[in-house]
Amino acid sequence: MNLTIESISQDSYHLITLNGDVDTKTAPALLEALTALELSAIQELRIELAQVGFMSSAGLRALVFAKQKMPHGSRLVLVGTSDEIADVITKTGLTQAVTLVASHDEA
Amino acid sequence: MLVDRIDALPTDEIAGFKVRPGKPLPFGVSHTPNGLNFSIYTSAGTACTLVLFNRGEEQPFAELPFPENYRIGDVFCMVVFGLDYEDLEYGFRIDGPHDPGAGHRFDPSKVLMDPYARLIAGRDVWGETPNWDRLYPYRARVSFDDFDWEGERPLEIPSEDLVIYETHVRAFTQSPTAGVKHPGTYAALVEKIPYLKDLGVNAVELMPIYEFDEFENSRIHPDTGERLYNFWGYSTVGFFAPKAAYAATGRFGMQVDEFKQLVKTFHRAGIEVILDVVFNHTAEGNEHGPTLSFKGLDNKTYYMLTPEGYYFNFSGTGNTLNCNNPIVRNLVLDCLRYWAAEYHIDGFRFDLATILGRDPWGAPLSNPPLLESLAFDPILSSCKLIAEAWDAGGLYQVGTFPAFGRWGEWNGKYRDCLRRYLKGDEAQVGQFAQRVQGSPDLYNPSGRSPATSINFITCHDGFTLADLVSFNHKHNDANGEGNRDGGDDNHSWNCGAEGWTDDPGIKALRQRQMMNAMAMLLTSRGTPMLLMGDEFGRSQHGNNNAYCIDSAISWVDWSLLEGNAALHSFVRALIRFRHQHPALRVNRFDAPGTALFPSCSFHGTHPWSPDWSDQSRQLAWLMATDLPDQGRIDAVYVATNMAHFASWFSLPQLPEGYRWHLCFNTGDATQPFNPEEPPFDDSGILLGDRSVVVLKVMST
Amino acid sequence: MNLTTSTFNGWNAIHVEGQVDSKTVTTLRDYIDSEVNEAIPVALDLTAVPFMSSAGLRTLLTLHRRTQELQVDLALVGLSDSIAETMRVTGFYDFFVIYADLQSLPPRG
Repeated sequence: MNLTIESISQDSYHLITLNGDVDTKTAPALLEALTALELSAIQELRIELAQVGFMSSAGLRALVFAKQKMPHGSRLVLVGTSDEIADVITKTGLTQAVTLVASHDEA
Repeated sequence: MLVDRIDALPTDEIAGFKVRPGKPLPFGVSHTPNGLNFSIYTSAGTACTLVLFNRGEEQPFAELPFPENYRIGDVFCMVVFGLDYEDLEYGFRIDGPHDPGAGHRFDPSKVLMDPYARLIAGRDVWGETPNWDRLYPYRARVSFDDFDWEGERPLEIPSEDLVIYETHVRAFTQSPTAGVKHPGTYAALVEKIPYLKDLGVNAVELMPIYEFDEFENSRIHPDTGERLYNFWGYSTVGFFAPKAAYAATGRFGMQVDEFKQLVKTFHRAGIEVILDVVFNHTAEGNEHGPTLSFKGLDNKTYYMLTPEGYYFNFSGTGNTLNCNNPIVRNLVLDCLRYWAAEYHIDGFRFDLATILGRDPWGAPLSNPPLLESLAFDPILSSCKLIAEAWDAGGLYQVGTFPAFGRWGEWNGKYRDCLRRYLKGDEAQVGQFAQRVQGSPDLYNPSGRSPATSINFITCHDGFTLADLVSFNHKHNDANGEGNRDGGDDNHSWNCGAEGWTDDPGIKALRQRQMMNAMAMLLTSRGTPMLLMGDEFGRSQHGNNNAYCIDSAISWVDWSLLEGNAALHSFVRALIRFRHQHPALRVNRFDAPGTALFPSCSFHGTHPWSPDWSDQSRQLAWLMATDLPDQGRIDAVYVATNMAHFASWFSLPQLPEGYRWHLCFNTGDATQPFNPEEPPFDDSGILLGDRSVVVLKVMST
Repeated sequence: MNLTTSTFNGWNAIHVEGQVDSKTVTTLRDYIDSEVNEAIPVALDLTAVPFMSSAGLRTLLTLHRRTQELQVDLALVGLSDSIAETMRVTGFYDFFVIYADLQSLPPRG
């Protein structure tokens, strides 16, 4: 299944909206979108996951990559993660690195 | 100013040549005023004849029987005048009992090679089909031992500071991709010195370069019709001579100078030369093998024989050299002393070394005289002595090899543990913690140090690193033995597909696993050893036993360097890092800690509390040492996560005035190492699945 | 082996013709001994030498040592590619000053 990626810079954060599945085939595109950003200068990166049904380890790896490049004290916020994906994120200890919120209001 | 020496004149004449009684020492052939001294010993032979040939000629031009009064003890010695030393090839005929049951195989119809031959002709071109009917195939010649070292001498780099690179002279440069003038030779190896120096290794370990027969056990592959050889060379014809066919000047007989020039050039580049030496068996095989030298000179002395006169086979190859026989012991000692003194060799790695500790009937000795002699010999005292501490007879002595405080060991347990940890096997963490410290469980009880442990993931025996992460099973069909040869316990994992794949996920994982393996190897205490070409992903297409292959399968493919530049840069950076951090090279098990940290401590996802359970796939180590001369401490933290999910590691807290710096992160495919080693201020670090991170401590 | 001398641009040129090996080195060495003169630099012309053996290379090096002792310049001229390569590989090359031919010799007064 395809994955569409929208990458928009807002005032106080950068937003990436994903629509589709993040798997071995589509994760490279996500990685590319992240690499295109100047992550070391971003204080807050939000990733909208409400329209993402499945996230493989390749996708998680892309998130790990992003967080590692961001500056000390910055935030990586995942918005609207499904229960399944949130579960995986918790199990892998990624909760230390990301903030999970249900909607942009809570961010 | 020439003194009139009494022994410059002949006293007799034999077969038309002026002669005089010779000197027993040195053994072999040596220059005297106006003549050549020949010395050969045989304990059971009854008569000896010196056989002289002109270079390349099939039949001798003279045969000089040694008179009885030209013998001292068991040594026949004679000075012959008026010989052209450069054109001469010499051999011996020995007469004695032919009684195989009693161990004697004397045969005066054979012309035998001097075991002390320092220059051997007759097989100057690699792979040229020999004339099997030749009367005298391996021909001893007279060499010069007058090389001008211009002050160069062995480097004596401390063992713990070595990064060893195992290489095979022919395989390293035979491929057209190597781009050298004389492929497959000592000269070509010298051409690659700039590459090796840039990589950062400071010792090369050369697979056998003693004269050996690549046609030993040679056969044709039943399906492909290709010829298979004794490619690796683990079988010796002449212990004192460099293999002629490995020399660009071999056809001129200049291999002695060429090899010394190789050692000199390596030393000038700051790289030691270690030789892989094979004292466990010779090319003569068992009772069905050829008689080239030892078998006809003194069979019972040189070989371990059963009471019926058959050959013990602890080497798995036909015969076993009788190393703890006092005569053979002296030969081994003479040999190593010769290479150390005349060739300035920095160290020796002994193939199937446990054989050196067996008595003449094969039983393991608790205090083997040979190993003791080697450990305490004055000429060898600065040489590294490294044992492959096992043999084909089932004697496995890693950790118990009789070391006399001097020997290093290929640590097979390090290799296995690292491989298993790398692929995520359970119950590895506890053992792995021992391995990364230099294996105190194996070496501390006998009072040895971490550098004793030669740590490696790969060597010539087994998969290359690229194949270790690409194959679950061996694929040795090219060896023509129906894939039955080679070990099956490779502890390898193909990352999701067997062999070649175009799946980007699998390829990325393989790359990361190779980097993980190298990172863990090069941040372990002990002495690391790398296999040639692993730094740019050399592959043998799944062949884990390429001992007989002379083709692109076994030859290093230098074109991989371009495509695998990222891996190469990474390994290069790791080697550089190791040289810069004494904390990784501490050579004591009971090293004192520093004011900040103990010498070596283990951690898990939480500092100071590693998870030792069977299910744990994470381990971090922090190594530290004081550098009083520089007024600072050196500390390196390595976190490893071999689980299939990411993991957050909380870092040990640093006191005021100190800061972490991020040096390596295999999980970041775009930048696995950062040459700037930027500061890292988070309280913890996220490790991706199957990743290794390396941080260092610096004061602010 | 044939040996002749000539002078060239202030150099004492010794022309060697034939193989230099254990059979001919003594002749070469004795000849050079008689020709080396403390004042004049020596150019050993090896253009007509197809092969030098180990003994030949050693004689060259000994000659080099001798001329150094006498403070006489020594140059090798006209080395064939294969001899030059052999000398490089066996470590003899770097001891010498080498010119492609006699014409390349810097003139000496």
